[in-house]
Amino acid sequence: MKVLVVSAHPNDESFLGTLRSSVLNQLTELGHDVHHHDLYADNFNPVFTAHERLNHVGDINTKLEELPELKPYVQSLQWCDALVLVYPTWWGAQPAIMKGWIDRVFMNEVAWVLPEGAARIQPLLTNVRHLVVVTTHGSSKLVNSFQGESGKRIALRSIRLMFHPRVQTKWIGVYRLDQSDESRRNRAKKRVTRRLSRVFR
Amino acid sequence: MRAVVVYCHPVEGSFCSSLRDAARRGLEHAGHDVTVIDLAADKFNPVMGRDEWNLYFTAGVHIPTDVDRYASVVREAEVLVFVYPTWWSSVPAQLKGWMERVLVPGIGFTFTARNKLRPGLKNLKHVVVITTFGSPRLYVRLINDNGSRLFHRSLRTTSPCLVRNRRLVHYRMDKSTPESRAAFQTKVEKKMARL
Repeated sequence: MKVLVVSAHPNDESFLGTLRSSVLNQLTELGHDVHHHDLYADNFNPVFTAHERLNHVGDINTKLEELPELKPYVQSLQWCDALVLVYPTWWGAQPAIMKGWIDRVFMNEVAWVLPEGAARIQPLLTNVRHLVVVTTHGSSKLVNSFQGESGKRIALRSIRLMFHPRVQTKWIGVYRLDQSDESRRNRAKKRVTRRLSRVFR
Repeated sequence: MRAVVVYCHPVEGSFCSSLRDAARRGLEHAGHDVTVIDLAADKFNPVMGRDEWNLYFTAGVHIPTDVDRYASVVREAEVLVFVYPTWWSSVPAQLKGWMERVLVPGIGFTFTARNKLRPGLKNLKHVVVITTFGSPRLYVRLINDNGSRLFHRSLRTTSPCLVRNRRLVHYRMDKSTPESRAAFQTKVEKKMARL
């Protein structure tokens, strides 16, 4: 399977960095064709500019010529069968750098089109048949449910609709990292590997 | 009351900017002391860097220089108003990053000696979300309004118990008319004046 992994964490030596490496190793070992974008390493700028807002709807080639920095992301998105997002949950949702990646890359004519006269948008990323989210939370599952898990909804509801209508989604959340020690973290890492292997056999 | 309007839209002159002005007029009319933060005009960088993250849970309050001025206003705020367009069911990245970088431990929340979370914005009384959706109401109900989840629910866990949440939204911007926009703008101004 062609797998696109998009990850975001400021520090590679963090637990999320370890998780990301383990996800990448696992996918390669299983024989998948893996592309990886590390948004922090790419120095991705998540700010949606006025120019982009004003030219949001229009021909994709013209837009990408004007925004060459988005081209690799668009190409990988159109190439992959599975999208794996790896990020820490901050304030219940994706870090700004990843939200900005969604804001900027899931643009008109990449993720969706609104045909003339149609009432609703049509998804374009129908090549994506699997959506997996691997994320870490400092607080417990209970606190996160109370906070409404907005990141989960952005991923599994909002952007999901741009993928294949029968896209398989998988949420792999690690909770209560703030109070976890080495052994808990190791167990969590093993759990992530186990759950990921069910999607990518 | 001391009110802070946090506004985030890339294009000046957009409908959101007129909502920001309506909110400001309403608040000023009611005699509140209003500060407007315009993230796009300030060219705010929403990305939390490596050093900032490394310092996040270490003792003391660590505020980078470009965030300092926001932190000092937000600390005093009794009313927080967020004005933004909803993209992918949530806030623009710049606003999300503002929250991440400004509401750090010591500002947004504190920990007690027993490692329990306590609210940081002790003066806060009202949180108002003013936003626009391209989609109709039903669609938003299905996907969820994740922007107000962020400010009304995530923020609530770290703000005083009696904070009042308000949500003023315009659905279906794609099909909006000058009348519907004007009506919403008037509504925002009135509601802000009667806070």
